[in-house]
Amino acid sequence: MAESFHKKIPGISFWFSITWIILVTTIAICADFLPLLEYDHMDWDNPEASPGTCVEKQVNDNNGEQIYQKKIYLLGTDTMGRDIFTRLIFGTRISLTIGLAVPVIGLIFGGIFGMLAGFYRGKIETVMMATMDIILAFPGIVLMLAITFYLGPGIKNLVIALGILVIPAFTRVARANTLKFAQSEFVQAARMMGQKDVGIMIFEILPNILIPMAAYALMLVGYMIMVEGVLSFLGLGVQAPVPSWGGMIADGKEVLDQAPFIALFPSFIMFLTVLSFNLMGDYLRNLVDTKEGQL
Amino acid sequence: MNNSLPARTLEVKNLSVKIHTSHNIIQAVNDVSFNLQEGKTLAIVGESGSGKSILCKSILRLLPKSAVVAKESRILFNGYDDLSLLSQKEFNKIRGRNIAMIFQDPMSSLNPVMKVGKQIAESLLHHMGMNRKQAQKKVIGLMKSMGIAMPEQRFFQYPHQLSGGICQRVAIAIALACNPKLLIADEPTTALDVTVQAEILDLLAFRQSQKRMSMILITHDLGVAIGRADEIAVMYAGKIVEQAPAEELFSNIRMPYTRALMASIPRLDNPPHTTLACIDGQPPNLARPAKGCCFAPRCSRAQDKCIKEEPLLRPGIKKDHVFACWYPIGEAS
Repeated sequence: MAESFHKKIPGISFWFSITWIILVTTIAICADFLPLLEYDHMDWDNPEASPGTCVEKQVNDNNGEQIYQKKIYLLGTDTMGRDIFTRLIFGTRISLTIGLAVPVIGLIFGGIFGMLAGFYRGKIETVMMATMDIILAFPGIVLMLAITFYLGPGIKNLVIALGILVIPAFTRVARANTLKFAQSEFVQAARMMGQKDVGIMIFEILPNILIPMAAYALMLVGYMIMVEGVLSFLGLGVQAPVPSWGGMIADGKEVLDQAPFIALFPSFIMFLTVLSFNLMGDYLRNLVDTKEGQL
Repeated sequence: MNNSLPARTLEVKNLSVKIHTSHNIIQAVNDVSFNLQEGKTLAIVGESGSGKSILCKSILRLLPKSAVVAKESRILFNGYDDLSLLSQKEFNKIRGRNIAMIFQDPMSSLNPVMKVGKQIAESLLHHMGMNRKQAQKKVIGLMKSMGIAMPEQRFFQYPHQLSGGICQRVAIAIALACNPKLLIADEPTTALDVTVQAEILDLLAFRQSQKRMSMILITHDLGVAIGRADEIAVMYAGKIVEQAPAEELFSNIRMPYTRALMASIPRLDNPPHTTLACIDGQPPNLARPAKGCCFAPRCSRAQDKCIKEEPLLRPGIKKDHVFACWYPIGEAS
């Protein structure tokens, strides 16, 4: 930590993270075009097949002739005989969607609320911050359960629920930074030049608070990927057979003693992704030297 | 310039500003009135906390929310009847366009994450309705006339890449971009070193004579004020205590406070190790205004009347020299 604190030149960790993030994102976008097996095809002859298993199978093709089909389970199969490699890649979509969409919701709404509160102070701030405190005090898992119960499970509802839960933190970061700049002389100078309030917020304050907020958002990306894992583990995430990393880990936990790789592969991929996003966030934060604990 | 018609650019009447703090109410500006003629410079001199910045910020409505301008205050700016009656929208058209301000610290009055060229161009886009290309051309010309070398390169630089003097020139360029009729310079040279100070003041004086702009120069340096201003108003505890044309004030100080200020300027011909003259005592507490003259507790000439009764501004032998003192210097007491 002490070492990375002074480091402002991108080091190996930076290049590792950015490469990994680009790789994972590209794969998630292109998953449909890659020569992969079907993620929901269950091969009941080969459940829990170890990595690298190669099977040949007789199937009927369209003309009714029997042909041999060769399949390689690169990372093995899960308890229901589904290819882990394929499921990992399709699971990337879910994890990244949640990991990116939730901080973006927080960034937009929290940013707007926080800037209004920090800029106008007074009653707006009191009401806004009290609302945020209520959301913060509300047990998150109960809100998640309530939303999944009433609106049904699904990635959209999950994103909305998580988004609501992260708005207060962003509001506080935005407000704290806006407070610092709202009193500054360059804001007064802009007002002196006849700039309107909205103009001041967009052109003078926003560029100044964007980097600390983006740094926080990047840290949250990793955290949200983990939260998705936890929620899928509890059965609140996306529904089967759509794969997600958390759901795969949950499936694997039953057979941890016989086939540990089923849970370990998604765990490892999740670990690398979360680490990459955190390192990126760290790098961005060091860049602007924003102190931790602004919440 | 003296033979021109004395058109009034700014007229401030009975301006009072109160600031509400969590403990008490501070009378920051107390019943201040002055006129400023076209093309002239008024210097407002006073120590820290005498209300000179609040006075100017109240003209531009830049006061903090806790500050309240008294109802009877009138600010008349040429053509407009009363600035304080204008709506926020109308007022936004005036500030920046007709009245502009330069702040004390150039480093903090520029947006740290915006290129300086863009910051100057902003008001041209906003008030003059120029397009980006015209504005950029105008900005580079403006930067050149501000004495900024290599304006084409400086245009794309950020404030932290420039020196304090250049930043202040940029700030002046921002203020002068729309050719305002009135420029308020709030201690424009306090944050700069002495050689740059003179350059900046020369630049302001040059631009002023070119454009026939009126200027309010706020300073705590009486020496600067005497050299640069046509008229000087000395402020103490939120009030104007003496006001006169610069030469008149310099040669004929009436108010003991002004004399004390003058005496505290170190002189080059002083012998080494001369004790620096200073004004004894503390500036008055503006939350609890005194009944009499607010300078009385620190004044060597104070008598009983000074503590009991507040002196009002009155002209002396010359009509344009007003002061608020019961026992002015040069009058037999």
